[in-house]
Amino acid sequence: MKWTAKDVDAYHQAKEYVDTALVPCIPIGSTNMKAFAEMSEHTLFITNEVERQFKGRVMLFPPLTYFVQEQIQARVHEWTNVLKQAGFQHVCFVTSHADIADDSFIYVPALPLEHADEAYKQKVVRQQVEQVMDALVAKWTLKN
Amino acid sequence: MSEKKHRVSRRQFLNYTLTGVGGFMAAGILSPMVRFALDPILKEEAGQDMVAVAQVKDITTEPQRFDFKVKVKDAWYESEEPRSAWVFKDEKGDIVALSPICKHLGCTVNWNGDKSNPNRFFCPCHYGLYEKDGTNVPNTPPPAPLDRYEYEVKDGTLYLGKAKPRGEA
Repeated sequence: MKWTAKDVDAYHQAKEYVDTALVPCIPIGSTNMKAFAEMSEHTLFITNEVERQFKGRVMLFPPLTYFVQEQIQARVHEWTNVLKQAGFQHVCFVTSHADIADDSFIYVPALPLEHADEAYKQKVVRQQVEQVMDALVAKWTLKN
Repeated sequence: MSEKKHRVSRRQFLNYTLTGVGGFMAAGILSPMVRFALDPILKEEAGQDMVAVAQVKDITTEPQRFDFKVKVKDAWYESEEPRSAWVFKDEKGDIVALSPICKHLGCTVNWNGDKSNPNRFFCPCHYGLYEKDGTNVPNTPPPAPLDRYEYEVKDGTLYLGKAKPRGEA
């Protein structure tokens, strides 16, 4: 489900089934803008695709946006707490930004795919989508 | 009545012209209104076109996943949306194209996704199960069978249309 009025309605009706929050983390930088823009685009694309496949159990939140100078850990911690209190047992952060990616994130490296051919692009993206999906399934089976 | 005797009086002439012009004006105003009122009836169903998805020779009795894109038109905004289908041939050799969207909450189901339930469609979100023909397995979350795509075969290529709930397709 996405953060839209329509999906939130659906969420209220099926609350007990939606136990996972998916948060893309998007860096903003004043230098090297293009690289950060690529990361954002990539992260959003991957999370969108994961949401499409796991619509019924995952709520895709609007991205957690931060400046690269910022200390992100505290905010991630806070988001996790708030979302857990709201009833999301599993809170997953997805990022393409290598500098912040530690164990609390699912890291999907943004590859320079701008000039790659379509078939290769699709393959890489599909692999990463599957990687995120596997990570979610692993979380689910662990707790159940 | 000869041509010469037929005289048009001034009054008649004005009458004719005014009714004529007035009639045109009334038609000009009314016809769009009538058209608007009838519009919903005349509108052809927003049926999407059939999309080429696969070659018939590639279709086996084992369900395979095919991804394709459909053009979606939302008012003026046109976009391409990815879709998938599980396609296979049943015992009679008929092609079956199932929508992978779980009827429970809309996740994407997988063929043989769960090792303890072989030859079934499996929804990883809430462990919903469907038989090969799309029928939901009782006592799992899904409330209905998987939708089926309308399909068409032309020159060895499979075209898929809309996904419809079973019973309609």
